[in-house]
Amino acid sequence: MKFQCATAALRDAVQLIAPVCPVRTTLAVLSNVHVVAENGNIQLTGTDLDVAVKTSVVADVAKGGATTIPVRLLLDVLRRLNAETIQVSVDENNVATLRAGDKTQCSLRGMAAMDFPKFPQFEGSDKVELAAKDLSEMLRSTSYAVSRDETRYVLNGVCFSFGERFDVVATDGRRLAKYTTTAIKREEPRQLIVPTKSINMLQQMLAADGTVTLRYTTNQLEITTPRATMVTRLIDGHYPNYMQVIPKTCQVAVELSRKAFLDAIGLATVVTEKTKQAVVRLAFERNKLTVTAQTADIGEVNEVLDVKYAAEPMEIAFNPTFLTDVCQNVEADELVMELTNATSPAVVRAGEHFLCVIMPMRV
Amino acid sequence: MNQPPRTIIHLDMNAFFAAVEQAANPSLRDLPIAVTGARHRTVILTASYAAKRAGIKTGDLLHEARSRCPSLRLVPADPDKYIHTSQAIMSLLKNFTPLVEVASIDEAFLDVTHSLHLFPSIETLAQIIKHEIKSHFNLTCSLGVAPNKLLAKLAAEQQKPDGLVIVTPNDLPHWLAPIPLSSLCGIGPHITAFFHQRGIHTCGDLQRLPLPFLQRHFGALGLWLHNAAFGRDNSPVIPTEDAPNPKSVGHSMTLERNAESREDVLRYLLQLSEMVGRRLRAHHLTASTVAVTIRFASFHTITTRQTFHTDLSQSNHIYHCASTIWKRMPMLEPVRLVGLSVSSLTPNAQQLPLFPSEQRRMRLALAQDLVNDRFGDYALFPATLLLRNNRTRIIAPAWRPEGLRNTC
Repeated sequence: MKFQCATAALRDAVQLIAPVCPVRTTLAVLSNVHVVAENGNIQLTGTDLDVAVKTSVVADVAKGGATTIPVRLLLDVLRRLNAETIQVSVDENNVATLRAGDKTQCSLRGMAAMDFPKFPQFEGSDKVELAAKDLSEMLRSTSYAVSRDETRYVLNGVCFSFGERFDVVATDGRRLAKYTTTAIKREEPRQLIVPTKSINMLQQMLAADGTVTLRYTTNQLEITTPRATMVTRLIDGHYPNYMQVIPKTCQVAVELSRKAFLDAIGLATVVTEKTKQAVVRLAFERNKLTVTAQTADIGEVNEVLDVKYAAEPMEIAFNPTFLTDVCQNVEADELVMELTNATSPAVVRAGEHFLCVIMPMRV
Repeated sequence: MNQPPRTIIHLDMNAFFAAVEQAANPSLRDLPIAVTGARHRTVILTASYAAKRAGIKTGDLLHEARSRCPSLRLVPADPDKYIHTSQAIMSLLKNFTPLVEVASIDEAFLDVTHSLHLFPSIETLAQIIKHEIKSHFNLTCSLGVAPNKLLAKLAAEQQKPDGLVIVTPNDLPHWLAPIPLSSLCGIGPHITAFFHQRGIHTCGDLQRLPLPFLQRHFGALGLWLHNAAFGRDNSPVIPTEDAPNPKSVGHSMTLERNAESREDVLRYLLQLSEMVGRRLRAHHLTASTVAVTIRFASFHTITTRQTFHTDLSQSNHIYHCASTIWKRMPMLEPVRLVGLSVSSLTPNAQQLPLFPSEQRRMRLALAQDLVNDRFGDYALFPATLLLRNNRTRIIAPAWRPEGLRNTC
């Protein structure tokens, strides 16, 4: 196998794939990237058997073939090369030799391509298309709410719910973020729980314009973006009925400037971030919101924000992380916070598509 | 004004569990009796002095004890009785000084430095304490009086039962020199063996060792050993209500009969989860690390711990984590003891759950705790535990009347 391509393009492609490849594994070949050179491009694949990612790079292929190269070593080498183009040749013992200009040469010992698992094939399954930037925004505004608690594995992923509308939902059992679009409708309702690792991968792949195609079977999802194709196993289980935890009514709705609110919570966390269970209090009074946090032995922070508030005074406490996560990951300038009382869920809405239900803390 | 010399009393109840049983049941008095844990099998928890004379000691297996002393009367432990008595004794001690540190169910330190002037002499004060305990509870105790906790505890050990040993700074040097090293609280078998190999047997021997030698072999502990050899100790008497929050909450139980299957062990883990969860909730704490300890029939013991990305306080969550850990542990042989402890504790400004099923569980736990607070432990418990004898509890050495280390 022998080819020549742009160093930067190859580096970006390998960088995209490297996070998928496991560092420690029982199957040594999985720490390698699978490389196939044919018809004017090279195809790179990485997998940990749960997720597989495939991308390609335009190349001048002198001799076709397939091999696998240790992905982290390859990436480390590519990051250190300044030459614009790179020549790669692989001998029959799977030793890959990288040449950059006349003076730089590097050999990496790989493994046979035949040992690498096959990329899953998708035939005749359901298909959904949407803009990459829309899916990117949906994931960005929800994925932070995924649970990291291994004991609740169905919550360890983002739920893609197809039906009369398309919901992207994430929850950790204390807050729930949902982004809804009615532009996508499916006659047959379907819920896919996509593991967190695949979501992180997908967010990398979506960093480009264009259209994304989603195809799914009962236990797998294939996502094709202009940059790459990913196939992921889905989390097997029933996602909880999230619609039932979204309050239908509220006592009062308050408009907040996202930036000012984020700054106030950020200031409050200065005195709470060293504590393991931080609390920030929001006290609403007539046209005034006071954000307070205090920690014994550290200090206290108060900030008053001007808001339109005409209802009875109310005080409610939250984990500040839940509030900053929302503020940092939505784009709208204005947020609406819907409240009922100090122990009922609060709803933060940003635009018409997004909402986040946050349970308060009892203090 | 001159600072009065520091005066600490260590109180050690004599053969506490056995003595309480004998006080409560006159027919047992003066007989060799031993308090045991679970009814069917366990070890000797405490032996009365008559039994001790027959060679019975804490930790003996029942058949060993019976063969050594055929007339031995075995009494199953009644933790509620001991806790009640202990609490009453500890509150009585607070009449003499507010600085009472409860060291365990049957031990306490009193800092009487500033209340001593209310009494004619330290000896009178000590005799009053002994008399009060004897007349109220019909129990005897050994008291040690010294300028610090280390020496006070050592002094109390010297005369049992019903002892009173007063060590003044003046007689300290010749009193301390012949005391064996192993008697000092904090010097265990390993350190003792290290010194025995080098011909060091008493505090006096240790005093002659240069500090740099000790520091080279024991690091920071070297300085402590050096000071201990001279009877120096600055540790304060910390009243129980001021004690810092503990780092872990745990329970363990020696099973009535060896658990032969993994499912049997799970049932015990469920019971322990209930006990640990209840304690956490009562003290408004959440935990994120869970450790399971298993002791096999051969006394081989293994512990596995795991940290979870969650705040645990509900019994069912703790059980879920414990069973996840147990699935990864080998069952090498039948199990005789199961332990469960949680750590990485944080004060719980209670985060409310989002899903109705968990809200229900939270309310259920709250209701269960309220019922059990009012009607006693195990008034309301999971039906899975129905067929088990739930009253076979053992009191841990780290027991405190208030606070997290309660009964187990």
